[in-house]
Amino acid sequence: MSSSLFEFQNADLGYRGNLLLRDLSLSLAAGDFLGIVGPNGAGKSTLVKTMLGLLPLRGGRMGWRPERPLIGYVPQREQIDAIWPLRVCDTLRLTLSAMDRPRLRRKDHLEDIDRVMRATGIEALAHQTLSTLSGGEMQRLLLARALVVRPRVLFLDEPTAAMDLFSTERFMDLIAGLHRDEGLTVILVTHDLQSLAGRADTLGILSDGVLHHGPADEMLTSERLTRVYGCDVRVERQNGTCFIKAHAAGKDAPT
Amino acid sequence: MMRELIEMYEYAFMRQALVVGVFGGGLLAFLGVFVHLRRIVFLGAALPQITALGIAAAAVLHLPALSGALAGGLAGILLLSFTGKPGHLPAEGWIGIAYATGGSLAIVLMAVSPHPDAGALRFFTGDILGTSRNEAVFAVIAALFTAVIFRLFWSQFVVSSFDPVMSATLGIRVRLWNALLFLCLGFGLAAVMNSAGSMLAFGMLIGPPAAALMLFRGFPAVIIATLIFGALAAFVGLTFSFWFDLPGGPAMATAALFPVFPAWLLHKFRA
Repeated sequence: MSSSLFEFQNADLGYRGNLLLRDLSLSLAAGDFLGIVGPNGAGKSTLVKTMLGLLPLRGGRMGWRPERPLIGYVPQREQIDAIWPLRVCDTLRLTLSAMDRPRLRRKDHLEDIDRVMRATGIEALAHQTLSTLSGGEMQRLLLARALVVRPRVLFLDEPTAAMDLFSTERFMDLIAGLHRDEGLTVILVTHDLQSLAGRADTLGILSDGVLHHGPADEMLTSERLTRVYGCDVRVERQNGTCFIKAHAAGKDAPT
Repeated sequence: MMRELIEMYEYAFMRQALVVGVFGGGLLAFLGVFVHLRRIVFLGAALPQITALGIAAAAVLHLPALSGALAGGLAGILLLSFTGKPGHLPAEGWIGIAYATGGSLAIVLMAVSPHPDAGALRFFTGDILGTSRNEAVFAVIAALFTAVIFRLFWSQFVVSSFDPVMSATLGIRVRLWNALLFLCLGFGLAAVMNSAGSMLAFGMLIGPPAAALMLFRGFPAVIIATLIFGALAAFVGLTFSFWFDLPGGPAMATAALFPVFPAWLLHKFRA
């Protein structure tokens, strides 16, 4: 394997008797921002779970180099049960305490918690319980929880699902800022191709059991997206901003 | 009244029943917080029935009832841990089957047992006054064991129950903490089921934590309130059962469930 941070080599991914992705080869460098998009059932979650080591590889090779780094994981918001009587600060503190590594001093815990709450803009919510948070606030808490362990790699699974446009943009800017300023390797899975435009370095599009991937600028062209999605997709650039429109059944449909 | 209370608890059988109610019931109430939050209340209903089956099997084999309760509880936890796997029947279906099978088969086994043991029938009637000293000691040990384990590893228990996927990505041993949680649950069920029956076990597991979760928003307050409700239920239920000649287990179970209704009203009023 090369000196990349992570590699799939001719990997088969899926469940026993149901392979979703075949012969996948992908290389990820440290500090890269990989965006993965694809329709429901395309294998996005399977890809993430396999990379996280939660699902076994069905064939081929996969590896982190030189060893598996500390990974911060931001799950889909729906996976979090807000009935737990936890405050925002408790959620962060307990995550740090629960990790199987030499225990940090309480002061270090507090500094880390303070740092991530400021970075994600949730300082004012520190003593609120989960059930009182809005969708966007919960998502920022989940991001803070992933960051509090000082990860080298950040995985985000559809973080902007069911978010309004403003919250989506704000959240995506936050991720892009962390990637740019702190050199975090980011792997972000989403339905929303538009939100990755101008932010991801590398783009992977899952379609029909295949991961089409490459530099984001090269992937985000009308020709490439039309070929991958099998329908007419138009990519327009205005003042450095990329706009993507798909034409399905003769009608414009936002992607 | 105070003198009557003191006289009442001068009897060893009353003190032993109270110890099982406070320690065993309190233990189940505490674990019930996790049962509610993990949304596995149906599992909490089925496990006492499988524990009852273990006690009945022990009676048939002429073994100590406590060993049957422990074996039944732990076997039930192991069996029901497979119900989350994908299949044609939803997990609730398997839990329902376990509930019905455990309860019915326990009665059948008791009916055909070559070693009639009237004491073993306590797991249906809930006659906690027949509690032995050894059973009371077991309840205290189970509660202390759980208290120590949770004191040492509180964050691991909470985080791995709250978000098992994220925990696994951080290297937190989710299976280990799940196994320990259910082991404690098995001990608690064995302690209470053997002395006071399935009604008290399920009542303690569900009632006090439900009331506490509706009344309080922070974890420490929820835990403290749950333990207070559980201990009070044991004391009030047992005292009333003595004064009014009621079956002890069901009286305690009623007391355990009582706070749920005012808590629900308060919760509604606040909302």
